[in-house]
Amino acid sequence: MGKNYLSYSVAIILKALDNGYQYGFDIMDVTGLPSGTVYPALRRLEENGFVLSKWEKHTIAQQEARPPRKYYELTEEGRAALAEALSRYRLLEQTLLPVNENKPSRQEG
Amino acid sequence: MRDTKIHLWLIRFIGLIVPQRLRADWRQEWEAELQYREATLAEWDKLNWQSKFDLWRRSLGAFWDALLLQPRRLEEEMFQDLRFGARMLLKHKAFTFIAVLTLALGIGANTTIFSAMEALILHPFSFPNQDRLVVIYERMLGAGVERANVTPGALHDWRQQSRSFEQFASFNLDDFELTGTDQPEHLRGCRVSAGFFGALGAQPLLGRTFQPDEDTLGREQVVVLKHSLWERRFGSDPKILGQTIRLSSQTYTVIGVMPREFNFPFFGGELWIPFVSFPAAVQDREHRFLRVIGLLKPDVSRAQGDAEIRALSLQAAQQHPATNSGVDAFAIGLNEDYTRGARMYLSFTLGAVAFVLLIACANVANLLLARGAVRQKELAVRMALGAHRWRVMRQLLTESLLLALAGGVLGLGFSVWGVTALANSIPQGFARFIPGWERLGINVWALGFTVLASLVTGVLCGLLPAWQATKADLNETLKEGSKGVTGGARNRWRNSLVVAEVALSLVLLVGAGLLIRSFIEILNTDPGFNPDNTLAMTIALPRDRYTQPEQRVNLFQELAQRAAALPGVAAVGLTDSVPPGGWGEVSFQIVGQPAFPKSEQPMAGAITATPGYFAAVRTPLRAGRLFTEQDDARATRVALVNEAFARRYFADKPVIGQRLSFGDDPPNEIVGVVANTINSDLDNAAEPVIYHPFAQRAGRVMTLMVRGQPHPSAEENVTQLAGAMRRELAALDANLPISESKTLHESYRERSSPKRVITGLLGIFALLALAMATVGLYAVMSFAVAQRRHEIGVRMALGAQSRDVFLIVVKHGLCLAGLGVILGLIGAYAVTRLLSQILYGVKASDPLTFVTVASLLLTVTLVACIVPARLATKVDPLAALRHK
Repeated sequence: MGKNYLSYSVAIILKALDNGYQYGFDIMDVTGLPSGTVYPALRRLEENGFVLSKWEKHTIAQQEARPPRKYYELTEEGRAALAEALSRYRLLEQTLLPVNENKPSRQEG
Repeated sequence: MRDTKIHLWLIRFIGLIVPQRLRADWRQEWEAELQYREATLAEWDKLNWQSKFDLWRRSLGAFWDALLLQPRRLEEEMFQDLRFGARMLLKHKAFTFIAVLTLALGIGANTTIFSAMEALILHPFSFPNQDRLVVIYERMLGAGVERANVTPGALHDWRQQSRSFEQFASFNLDDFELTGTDQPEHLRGCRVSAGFFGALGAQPLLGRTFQPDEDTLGREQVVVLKHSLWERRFGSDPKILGQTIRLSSQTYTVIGVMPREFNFPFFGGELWIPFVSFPAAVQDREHRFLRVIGLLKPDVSRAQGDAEIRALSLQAAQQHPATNSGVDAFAIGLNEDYTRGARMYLSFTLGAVAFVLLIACANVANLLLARGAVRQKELAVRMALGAHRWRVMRQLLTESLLLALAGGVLGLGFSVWGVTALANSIPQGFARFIPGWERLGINVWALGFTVLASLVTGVLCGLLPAWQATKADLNETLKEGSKGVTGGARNRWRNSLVVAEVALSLVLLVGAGLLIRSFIEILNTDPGFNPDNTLAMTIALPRDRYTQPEQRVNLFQELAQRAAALPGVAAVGLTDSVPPGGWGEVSFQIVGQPAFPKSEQPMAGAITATPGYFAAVRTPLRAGRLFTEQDDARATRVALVNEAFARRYFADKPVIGQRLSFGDDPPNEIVGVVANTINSDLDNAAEPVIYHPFAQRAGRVMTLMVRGQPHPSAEENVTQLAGAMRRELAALDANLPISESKTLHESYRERSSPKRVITGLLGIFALLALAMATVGLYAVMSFAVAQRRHEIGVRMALGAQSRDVFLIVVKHGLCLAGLGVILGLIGAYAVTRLLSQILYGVKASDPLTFVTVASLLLTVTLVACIVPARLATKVDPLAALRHK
């Protein structure tokens, strides 16, 4: 998956990440893409160094009596790829992906 | 609340297919996400059926996620295996080299023979209809004729009455003189029914083939050219269509040119013209001159077609008892019929190469077993650290597959060379009669075969060693100084493999030995003629000139006299059949004996010859006299027979003076008996043959036999003679075409080439097998000695002499070899019977061959034991004991 061949759905996922949606399920919600598309795309983006995945802090998870969640962040390369994709998918820029206002500031767990 | 957990169960379940390395993380990510979402929904009081359904849907989506992670599982571990395997193989270069070379020889031999099989047996033709095409023969069991041509009457019956066949096509071979061009030429060709090309489904390269009614009287005469003739005589002129050419003094219009690969029916013919028959011919039930192929209807099986033809022939036998009683007919698949010879020869070769590959596998398996023993510690450590047995086995199998694939690549190289050598092994003049020969080469099929053979080989030679190597008891193996507990089992396997190798190679050696003996037998058999230093030159007189027998006799006699007068010529004769064999067949009755019924009339070879012929080819007289110049058209009709004829039909009675009758002609008196000559397949030197004097049966197509004087460069001398003969012929009649001139040696070589090639191939494969088995035994013995160093040291410390140690090792080796030889002899006895149909003068159970081969094998294996045995005697007891 070279930089120049980001598909539209992958570009949307990057954009969602950029807008502060960091969890797979949130990305599904905001993009409307199914889980069978979002997760494989995230794995490939990670493999290509466009995103990084991290586990949330154990303490938070323990409080809520569930395993720690995994969240994703854009890398510099990912940002560059997104910028490039935006220049090609003009519509994407205008697509109103809401910005995640209450973007939690996570520390590495 | 159990129902809300369905999504978590789904994730756990789907997680089973996620690669183990990633599984825990994968499950955690999904579970955390689902639980978080569930908790949030519950908090917002929105956990209704719809949102639950949405969670399930998302969990199902995890299946795609898991599925798309599959390549990582393969990639990671496979790459690890491959990388590690390649590193191990590169580290042990000598081992790798020997194993790859061994497998390459085995795989290369198999690819070569498979390519030959593919071209000659599986796909000799490329006719669209070939699966529905059958060849139909008549059969006269009473006369001992299995495959006879068909009468026009029978063909007519089938065309009228058959329901299983879409159509029938007939062809018969003929010869033509191409004139009206700069150089008259005698050509072979085919007269075919109009549906011939249609039945085969063959399309022309240029123009068209025959129209349905073009084989009826009164139509324009048309001809379709073979590609080679178009190229050679007409310079591949695309404007040839519509031009006329002169064939046998008649004018034919060229209507088509066939593509290069169309060569049916493989007899060296170069043109096809319609066979025009007279309406009355459909009543002819006596003259068998048509070769018939049938195209079955699409839904009719070959067996049904065959049954119908048999039934129709039985019906004909009842309706026309005078001509057809005792005659029946049968249909056989086109492919099956035309590949009979190739199948007979190739099946043995295929068996032989399979043996070679098995031996190669056994050898490599042995090497791998030995390596397994050496690597036992390494493998035990890996398993002790938690590697699953299957994982370690897979690693070892990857290594053997790598070896086999490398062997396959090298083997493919060998087979490119092998196939080229094979294609050149049979002279062109003979190869053109073998369907599919021109297709011989490495193609996609062969490549596929090589890949498959490599994979199977890799598993075959790797499975047992991998199984053995991972069977070790870790505790024992890891103990300091232990030699491992599976040594016994491993050695048993190694020993069994060597025994199998020896047995297999013995079978091969016996097979090759029998063929070689049979070939020597053929070379030593007196063929009844002497091919040295003799030129055979065929001259076909045009049909429209030399119509009277006297004209033909005069011309040929004049030619023979001129030839005899040339310097360097020892003898000259004329015949209508070039030895070896080459005769036609004739049915006859013996005057004074009860007549045979028509369908049971015996057949014998028939040769027309001049008085000088016997001296020219050196066929000796056994009794009576040869033909003389006085045996001419006006004299009493005479004949000569060969010894086989005399023995079969007159046994102890005197032969000279007996009379033979041929149809309505006056009977011929037998005046002499000549030696037997070998038939064209070189597998029978005792077929009954009758000779007619040329002056009493003057044919149109004769071959001049010119024997040169003994000369140091005899063949060169003969070739020069050919030039001189051409000039003499041109001086007599400038318009006479010459078809062929070759030396008898060439004909003999061509005829013997399939047997020579097959003998050579089996010989090569047998030697290969012998070499591999010897190397295998040597390796096993060396390894055994290395393993038993300690034991030998103890024995020597306790007073054993070098001689004792030497004998222990040699005895061990000879035991293995002996067991292999015994098993091999049994196997060979069972297998070589299949060879009997291509053996000549040797029984399949020939004791001499069996004994010679067995002792050869034992001797060679003895030598293979001596080096390790001598090494064993060099063991220093002190060093060996300390080594423990």
